[in-house]
Amino acid sequence: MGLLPEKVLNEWVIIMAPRSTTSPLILKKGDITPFIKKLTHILTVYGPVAKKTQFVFDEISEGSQLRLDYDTTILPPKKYFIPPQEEMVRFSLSPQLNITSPLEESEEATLWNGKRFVIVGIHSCDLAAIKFHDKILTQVYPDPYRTHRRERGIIIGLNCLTPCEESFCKSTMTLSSTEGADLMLTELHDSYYVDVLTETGQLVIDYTKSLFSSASKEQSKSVEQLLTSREDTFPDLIPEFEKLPERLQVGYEGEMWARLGNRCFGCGACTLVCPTCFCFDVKDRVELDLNQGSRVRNWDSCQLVDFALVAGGHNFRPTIPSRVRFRIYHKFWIEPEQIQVIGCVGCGRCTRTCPADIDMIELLTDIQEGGT
Amino acid sequence: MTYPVSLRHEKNAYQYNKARLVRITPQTPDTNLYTFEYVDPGIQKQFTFTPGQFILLSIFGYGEAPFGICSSPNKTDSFDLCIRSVGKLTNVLQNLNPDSVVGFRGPFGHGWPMDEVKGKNIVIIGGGIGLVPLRPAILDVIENRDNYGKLQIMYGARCPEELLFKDELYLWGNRRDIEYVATVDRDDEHCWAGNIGVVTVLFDRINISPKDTYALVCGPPIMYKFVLRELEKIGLPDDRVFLSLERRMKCGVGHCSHCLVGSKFVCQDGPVFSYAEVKAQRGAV
Amino acid sequence: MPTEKSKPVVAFYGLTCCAGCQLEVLNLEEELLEILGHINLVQFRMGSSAKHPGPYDVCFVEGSVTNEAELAHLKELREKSKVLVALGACATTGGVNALRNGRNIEELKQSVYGDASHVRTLPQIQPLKEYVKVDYELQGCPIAGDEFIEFLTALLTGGEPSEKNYAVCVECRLKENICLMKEGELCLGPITRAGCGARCPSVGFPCEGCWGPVPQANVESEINMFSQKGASFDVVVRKFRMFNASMEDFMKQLKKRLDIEWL
Ligand SMILES: Cc1cc2nc3c(=O)[nH]c(=O)nc-3n(C[C@H](O)[C@H](O)[C@H](O)COP(=O)(O)OP(=O)(O)OC[C@H]3O[C@@H](n4cnc5c(N)ncnc54)[C@H](O)[C@@H]3O)c2cc1C
Ligand code: SF4
Ligand code: SF4
Ligand code: SF4
Ligand code: SF4
Ligand code: SF4
Ligand code: FES
Repeated sequence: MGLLPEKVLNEWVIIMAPRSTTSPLILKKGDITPFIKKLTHILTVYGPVAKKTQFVFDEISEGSQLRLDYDTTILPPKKYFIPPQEEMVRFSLSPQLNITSPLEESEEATLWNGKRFVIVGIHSCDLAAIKFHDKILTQVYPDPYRTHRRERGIIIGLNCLTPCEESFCKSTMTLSSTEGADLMLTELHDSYYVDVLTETGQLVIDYTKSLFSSASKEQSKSVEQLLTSREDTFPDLIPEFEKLPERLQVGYEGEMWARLGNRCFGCGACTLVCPTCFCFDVKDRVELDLNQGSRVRNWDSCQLVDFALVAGGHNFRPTIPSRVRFRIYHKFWIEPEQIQVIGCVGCGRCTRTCPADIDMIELLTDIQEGGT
Repeated sequence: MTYPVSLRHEKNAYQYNKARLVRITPQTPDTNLYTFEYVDPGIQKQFTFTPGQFILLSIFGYGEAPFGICSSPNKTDSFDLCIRSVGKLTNVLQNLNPDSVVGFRGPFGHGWPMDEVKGKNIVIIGGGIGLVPLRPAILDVIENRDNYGKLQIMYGARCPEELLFKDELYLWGNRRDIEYVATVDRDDEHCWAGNIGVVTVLFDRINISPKDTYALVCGPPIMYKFVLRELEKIGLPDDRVFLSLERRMKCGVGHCSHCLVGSKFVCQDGPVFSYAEVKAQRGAV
Repeated sequence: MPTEKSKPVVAFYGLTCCAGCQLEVLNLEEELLEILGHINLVQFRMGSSAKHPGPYDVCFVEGSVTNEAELAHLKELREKSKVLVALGACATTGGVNALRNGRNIEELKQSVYGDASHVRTLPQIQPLKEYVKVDYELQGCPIAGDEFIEFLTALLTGGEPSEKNYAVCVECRLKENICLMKEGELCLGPITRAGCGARCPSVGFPCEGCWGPVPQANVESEINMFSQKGASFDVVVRKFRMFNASMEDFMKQLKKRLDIEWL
């Protein structure tokens, strides 16, 4: 995955001059603007931009909009691979059934209107979450909609050098994730140090080649030092994180869930902003001509009251405490059972967003201490 | 839209196969038997399923929902679904005209362990609409009677009008090679000569020997608690008791998480589970 | 194209309210023309003055019942309509009309009308569903045009309109708004039904709860959060009562917590 199809190669105006090596490169901060400009010629470019006091991923047309100094974003970049609302098929209400799937239309008219995209500046935790989705959403069948987008998205990662508030990525061991990125950036004084991780990444470099220079030995050394020094500067807020599934073996009936349930609104915000959550609901929509329509999948949340409701009115998780418990068990017990990876990358977004101030670090610490 | 050769599209699990509604046969005031046939004869020819598997039916504009396949696995020219009208999709369905075309995905999931029960005794316990996914198993036993041991069927409905497949029930009741008992929760019209009470009263009417016996159970959530207790009493081991679970389903292929029971997807790992598997999952029954 | 005869007969009626919800329907402009192609609109307070005697296939009623005459009118409409839809906050929660609930009626009357002997009012403002069977509710002050259209298309195609049984926070997160609760403000979003598209938080105002309570609203936690943010009892009460003074659960919780007699 991540490799661009042959066809794209031709679309790209690539100078097929001698291939550069895969050794690390340097991109001057001042060259970010021309770099982005060049990318926008052939790709839709997304990256972190400011939204009042916070940041969101959004489309970038000017390098100056890009805020690579961001701490975190309100929604994670998952929205580009699993959009909050996605058309699955279009249909007309005729009795003979006319359906068209955007996955089957011509190459040009596909989900992306033929355009590939690049996301610039994804932090390690979010990279880990993308890899997580690669795994969890292909357990039985691949999710064809996500796969379609995933194959069309280029990822430029960005190493974090200072911890953001509420996060615990050192404990989740996602702090140093780079897998999934095609290029990985590290801020180094007035430049970005660039690791080329995939062939796709190399294509991007080739295309924007004139902007990059080779990194010196000293620069490589500095970056290595910077990255390893994070072992000291990032706190291990949830020691023995990997033991959580085991600890959850007990405590299912614990009173912790009622306690949390008293505070929780069941609003689902924590799961919507979570980079590893992926659940969806499906609805048919008919347009006002009362003939054309589409089947749309929307982000859903196990925290919402209808999530486990079946026809006839039986609800398998009827109360807020039962749903809070499910979220935690899904991430820290069910997902590890299924794919041997815990469904939390430590980004802290759930804590940052919870209107009831439910704090993931506190919650997990309680579990670790057997306080359920 | 083109149809790949396989009924289950490995790459795009969200592709629909078109099928024509052949006929609607009323069963009870709110439940009908629907017979479908794939528009593409090639697809109809490839159609196979294990008793207990389900299929996702789409009426575009109104939604998609899972239904247990209800016809015999040995019938290949069409297939039946038995559906109670309870909401959006199912209410529209009952008003469809024959020859209307709908979409199907699947069959999906794991059905009853038909291979494992070959040569063994089978107890079938169905409650209400729960008889639907059990019917293909019963039909297979009847159609290949020599392949299986004793067949005992216990069936409960809320009231006499709600009994499904009434003609067949009558036949089952009259066969020597089937032991069939039924009950209704109540009989306000006084038209029922049989047992009255919930399904578990039938355990007094029938003698189940645990030796070489498998139980296949499907019914409303509340029924499981009581039935499982009875089966435990009889001494049937957990790995020879099989249940079909119902959960909300939005994808059928392990993507939406709506159907999770513990770490198992009802849509893919189930809907049929052994009681032993179910016990290992929290919040299953 | 259906003939006038085969099209469903639709009427809009207003009880006590500002008619803002009907205005919202009028504001749909482009879509309205298309809608009018599918329905036979016989009564619309804002658009025409023709009185149609009924019966109606679908009857939208906005506003609250404030007096006996309105109650009789509502009952009559119910009799005449196959499907009755309560339109807007006033009809679904009592809306701002319910603000007077629990206050001394005579006092209020005096302050509003001076000499109040000619005003005959019911003691409490209740949602329409407390008086007659309501088939569907479209919440909001005013309602949301896109919800109205979605509702109508579902009804016209013979489907079942779907309910949004989740809180404003869902829509607010998807819009990537800065959470106002987290900024220390008092937002009713977590306990208010979605549908508005997080109208208020999207422009920087905390939710006032005009869509009414979400199912299983955790009112107790909301009160806790508000008081943690330093809100006084008065402020909390005012906030809760704005659109939801007739919502028993809200008021019960407030009462339990705040023990304020005048509720
Ligand atoms: C594996 C499996 C096999 C099944 N086999 C059969 C079968 O053989 N025959 C059969 O009749 N049924 C079967 N069912 C049940 C069937 O899938 C449901 O009856 C069907 O989904 C109802 O769809 P609907 O659109 O008509 O109802 P919906 O309109 O979706 O819902 C009907 C009911 O669902 C509840 N509900 C409340 N809110 C919502 C909401 N927002 N969305 C959806 N539902 C809500 C309410 O109780 C409502 O009355 C099976 C289910 C599963 C999981
Ligand atoms: S659970 Fe919370 S901390 Fe963990 S990945 Fe999700 S949002 Fe981030
Ligand atoms: S089940 Fe809940 S916690 Fe798990 S991925 Fe879905 S929304 Fe997130
Ligand atoms: S964001 Fe907080 S209040 Fe909302 S569902 Fe999650 S834990 Fe509960
Ligand atoms: S601003 Fe209000 S509605 Fe939006 S997420 Fe925060 S609490 Fe919810
Ligand atoms: S945010 Fe709240 S007050 Fe504003 S329109 Fe929506 S429900 Fe009403
Ligand atoms: S139905 Fe979606 S995961 Fe099973």
